Amino acid sequence: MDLDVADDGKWAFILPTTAPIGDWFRRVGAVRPPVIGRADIKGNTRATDLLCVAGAVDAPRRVVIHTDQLCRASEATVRIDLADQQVFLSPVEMILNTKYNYSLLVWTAGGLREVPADSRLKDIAAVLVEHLRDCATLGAEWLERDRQIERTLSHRRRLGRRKLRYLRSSVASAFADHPTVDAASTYLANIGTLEAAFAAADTA
Amino acid sequence: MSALTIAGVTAASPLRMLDVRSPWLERRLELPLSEADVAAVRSTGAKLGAYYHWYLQKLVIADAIKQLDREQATRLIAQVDHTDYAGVVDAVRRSDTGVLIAIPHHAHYVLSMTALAARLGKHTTVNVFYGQPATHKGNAVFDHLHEVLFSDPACGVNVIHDTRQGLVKAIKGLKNGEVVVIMPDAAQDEDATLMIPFCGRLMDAMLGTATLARKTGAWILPVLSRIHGRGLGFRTEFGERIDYPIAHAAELDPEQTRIADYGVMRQVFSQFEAVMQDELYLWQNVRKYLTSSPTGGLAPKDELSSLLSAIETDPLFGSPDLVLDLR
Repeated sequence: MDLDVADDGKWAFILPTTAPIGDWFRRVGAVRPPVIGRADIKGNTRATDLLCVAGAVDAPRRVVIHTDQLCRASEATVRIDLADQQVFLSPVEMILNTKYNYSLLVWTAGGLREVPADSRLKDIAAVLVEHLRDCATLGAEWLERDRQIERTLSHRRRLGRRKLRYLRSSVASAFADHPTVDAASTYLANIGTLEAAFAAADTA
Repeated sequence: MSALTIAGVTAASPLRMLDVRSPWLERRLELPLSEADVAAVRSTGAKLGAYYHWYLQKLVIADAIKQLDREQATRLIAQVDHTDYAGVVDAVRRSDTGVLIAIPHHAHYVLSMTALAARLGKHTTVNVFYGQPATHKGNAVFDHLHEVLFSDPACGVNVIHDTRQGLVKAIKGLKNGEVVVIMPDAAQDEDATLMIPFCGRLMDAMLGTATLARKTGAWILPVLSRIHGRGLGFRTEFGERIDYPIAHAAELDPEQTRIADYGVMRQVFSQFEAVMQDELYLWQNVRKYLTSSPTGGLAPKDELSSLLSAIETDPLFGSPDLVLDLR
């Protein structure tokens, strides 16, 4: 695999997480470009670290982004409303493209798709959604397949409700023998506020 | 037919010593297990063969129930029932209030509920409360059993489904000093539950049993079905009576009421756990519970404040940085 393109500009390559690509990164060793992805994978660069240097004159001219690894609520914070569901994407590709003049070269099942620097956010999002949908065609070769549910709004709502129930249950358990003490009421009032805000977000 | 079936189950009891997977047996028992299911069953300490043998018993019972008439069903149940009813009958007869019999989907719970209802029905009206078969497919067996065994009103046993009308009937019956049999380990709406520590994990539990006790003044009797011997034998065991702990519960606000209800349910499940933890493979929900419920316990009182802060700052609860509509 070669990340050279006939252009002197800045390029971000959006690639799926597969074993062959991981092997290639290991082979090229120190000369490989920064790879943006999950913090718990050795060798990955954090998106925030890249954004700190992306505007500098010596900013990396080539970066690889594993968009498929950026699923969690702390990483994927841009909500995309699709016809069939709502999913979250990382903002890093959009920021690199619109603020730091990175062109994107996005892997899809039909080949690499180019997104010129300073494109419309909706156009960037549409290509990234296509990329993630096409990653699914890789089947078991796609190493991040099982984590994609974490970027769906429905999963996050379920997880959020479960966390709130856990908190409410913990309060109930702590005060079950003395349900009328003030401390219990204070906690429950705070939980009620959180629940109301969370429920309201469901209908937003 | 019944005697042969019981003999068959007994003859198959060496199966309990088996601890390897048998795809053939799983097909025969209509028990498709995933690897996670197998690990879950083994984590209870039971051999896989014991689980197969238990499923064989369930199949035989389900089969028998479909085919027997009233006399045959009564005889079969009497043959396999090893319960001592003296204490419970006496306690119910002497009760000034209604009684909630709380029984989980454990071991031969269908037989235990049926035999217990038949006994108590001679002394008071018994209402067996469960999800309607239209929405709870597996509960058709109760409707069938009721039809076979309790269609004569003189039996004193009614079936009520968990509909709004059923709930009204249960409350009315309990206020009249009747018995309601309820299965508290069933939860249809996860969001309506609270988590109760149970066998090393957190169970999503409905508080309905405690709510009924609070609203009617009824006391709760936790009851468990246990297997007895190597065949289809069962024994119903009775726990410690639980009274709603707050006399003037009507004076509590809704949040305080929910906490008090929670405390009651925690007592109910604590009694279940004391027995079930050593034979969890006999619980109907065991595979789902051990493969999908969260492990660990609840946060202790001194960690509630930091837990609340952590949730308040959790990105899961934050607003999106941006929303793009691609519809």
